[in-house]
Parts: sequence; structure tokens; C-alpha cells
Amino acid sequence: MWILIPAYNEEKVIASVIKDLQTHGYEHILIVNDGSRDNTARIAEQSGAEVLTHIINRGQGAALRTGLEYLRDTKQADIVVTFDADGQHRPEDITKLIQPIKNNQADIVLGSRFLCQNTIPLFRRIILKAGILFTNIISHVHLTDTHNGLRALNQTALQKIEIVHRGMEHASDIIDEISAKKLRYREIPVTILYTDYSIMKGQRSGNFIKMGCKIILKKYFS
Amino acid sequence: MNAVKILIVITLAISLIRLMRFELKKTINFQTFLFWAAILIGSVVLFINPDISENIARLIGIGRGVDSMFFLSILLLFYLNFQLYIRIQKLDRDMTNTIIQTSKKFHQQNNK
Repeated sequence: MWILIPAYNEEKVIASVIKDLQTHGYEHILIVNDGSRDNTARIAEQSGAEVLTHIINRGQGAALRTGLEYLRDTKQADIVVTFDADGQHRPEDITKLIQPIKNNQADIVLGSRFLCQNTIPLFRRIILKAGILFTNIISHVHLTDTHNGLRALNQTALQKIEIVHRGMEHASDIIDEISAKKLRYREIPVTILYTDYSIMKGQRSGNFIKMGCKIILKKYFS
Repeated sequence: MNAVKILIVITLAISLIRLMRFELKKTINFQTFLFWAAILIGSVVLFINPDISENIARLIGIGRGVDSMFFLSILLLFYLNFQLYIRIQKLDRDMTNTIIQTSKKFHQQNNK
């Protein structure tokens, strides 16, 4: 099993995120350094992770695509867990996330912050709910959380899922692919740690409107 | 012909010469050359003989010749803007694909 972390300018937290995962027994960690201008790549390598680097920043979708293709084709990974670099995910949630895959009940498991008690800032909660409604209508898949970076994929999902968007819209691509390729999916409650740093690093609310427009353009006009 | 007309015709003629140079150096393909050459030559003809625009206006059902030119110019600008958008999107996609492939290849070479 591999943990895939797309990272952009995360030198402040990347070492602690990797260490935390290693402490929980996860040794195979791949960082896709997405054109960071700081020391993210060097720190990640020193911390014991394998690092792939984009020479310029291309966005989280592109970084995930790099990582997923590399792990599928080169490492023949059986399970890949995507994990955020800003420290908002907990390694403790990985065990329950991969369980449905191990039990052959799902091809992809998505973490949901809305299935358990999470303290989500009000404005972010409203934006997320609007995003969920939008994605569910567009993709015809009923999910409680569509923009959560904590996911687990088995080999079937790795083979079938194609990420089209290079930016944050990749989350909708994945859900579209679940519907289009008829993948078995499950949602698992996960805890999101909203720190000042993760809020600062997270998506600006205005970006969600831009993302929505891009998704509609790509889906219906390309 | 007044001074403004002469100036515009000279500018368009220079643009046409530059366009021909681009085509000769293969910086642009032949279709693009033909498209722009037709626009530039058409503009030169219209500036020298504006009465032609009256005929075009009658043909497309717009009152005055100048109005028809505005109408066609706006349509052309929309079309060019759309073409530019498509081209930029394609370049962006190609760049992303190149960076993804390069990063994997570079990593594999370094780990051999």
C-alpha cells in the first residue's frame, strides 16, 4: 500500500506529516512535489519519502495524476491512499478507509467530513455544501463530501480513473469517473483538522465558482 | 485618397508582408496564412473602395455599409477569441502532459 501526497510549498509541515504517517506504520510514501519554490522536495526526501518533482507548478490534479500513474505503472501498487500535505488529515483514519477495499466491497473509498462530528468553519461549510450539491447533480452520484482529499483506490480504480483537470476540479473528475466507469464506492467518516495553516493553504472560497464554471465548460462543451 | 486612408493601407500592407514572411519561414501554416491574408486584403480593398461595404450591407440585410462592417468585425473578434481560447487550452494540456511524463522519466532515470 502506498500513501500519495501532492505537495506545493509545504516545507513548514511536510516533515511532520511524513513522520506522523511513518509512526503509524506507513512506510511507502510518495510525495509529488508540484513545482514548489521552497525546500519541500529536499525535506520530504530527508524524511524518508520517495519524491517526484514537477519542474513547474501544474496544480493538485496534475500532481495526483503523476503519482497515480507512477504507482500504477512502476510500483504496481495494490492500494493507493491520497492524503493532503497540509496536515489536515489523520493517519488514524487510513485503517478504516482501506477496510472496504481489503474486504473487496469497494474499488474506491472516499473520506467524508460530514458523516461524523467535525468543527468546520461556517462559511467553508456553506461553500462545501454548495459544491457537494453541484457535483452530485453533475455526476449523478450521491455523496456527502465531494472535495475531500483523503481517498483510497484499489487497482481497478487505478486502471480506470482518468483525471482530466489539472487543478482542484480533479475532485469532480474522480466522482464523474466513479459514475461513468461504474466503480464500487463507499464513504467513510474521517476527521479533518482545521488549523490556521490548513485554512490558509486551503481553497479560497471564490475559487469554487471558477471551478464550477470550468467543470461545466469541460463536461458540456469539450 | 486622404492621409488616414493612406496610413491605414500602408499599415495593412506591412502586416501582409510580415504575414508572407511568417508563411515562408513556416512559422504559421498555409491555412492560417490564407485566413489572415484574406482579412488583410479584404480590409485594404474596403478602405480604398468603401462603396463595396454598401453592397455587403444590402446582402446581409443591414442598413448602412459601416454598420455591416461593425457587425462583421464583432463576429470575427468573437470567433478569433474563441480560437485563441481553444489554442491556449490545448497548449496548457500539452504542457501538463509533458511535465507529468518528464517527472516520471527523470525520477526513473535517477533511480536506476
